[in-house]
Amino acid sequence: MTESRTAKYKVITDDVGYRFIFYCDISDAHVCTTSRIYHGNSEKEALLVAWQTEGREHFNRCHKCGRWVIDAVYNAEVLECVECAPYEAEPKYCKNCGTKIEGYFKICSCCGKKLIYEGSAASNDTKGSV
Amino acid sequence: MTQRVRFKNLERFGFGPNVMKKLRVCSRCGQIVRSRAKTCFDCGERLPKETLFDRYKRKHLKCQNCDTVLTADSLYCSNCGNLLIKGEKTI
Repeated sequence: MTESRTAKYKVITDDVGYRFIFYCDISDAHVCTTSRIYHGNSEKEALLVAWQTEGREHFNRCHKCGRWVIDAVYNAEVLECVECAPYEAEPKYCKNCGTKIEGYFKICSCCGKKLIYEGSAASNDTKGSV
Repeated sequence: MTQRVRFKNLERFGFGPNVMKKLRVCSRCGQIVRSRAKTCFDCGERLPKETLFDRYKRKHLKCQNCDTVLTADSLYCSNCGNLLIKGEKTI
């Protein structure tokens, strides 16, 4: 997992300090521009304060790849971004062996694999794979 | 819970495919714009045709038969049972 401490950003520097613009790591959408000017010994230091104060609250962190994304591209059901975990419909067939599924089951009765991805944390605990 | 209800519930909180279908991102300034708009209300740039949902579909494996978005490890479509031909991953 390549975890970054903040989302993508641009910095606006002037004599007084720094302002930051944060972007979604997947969609490249402009999410927020800090409303105040941040000071620090370095840009990095100011960035972390700005992120904690104003940026962080607008983002979700993917529990698999560690990217910071907006709500629209976040699969809230498995706490991962939609690139790591696409939305899955209620399965009618097993995605591994193609057996028809009658009713709602989590595991395929034929091959024993998971029918729905439940997130990377859940797949570490059980037999099924992503 | 049916898929439709599930996605509606997600939409209420700003998540899910229905939300992605309604949004586009300006390639110049990154502004999030409703998919009906033709130009960015912030910088005036012409918006890309692709919504966030189109981009999402492009990144994933899709069933050639019913167009369902599938996880990368799928061998069969979980919606129609079609055997997937790997290598024709994305369009």
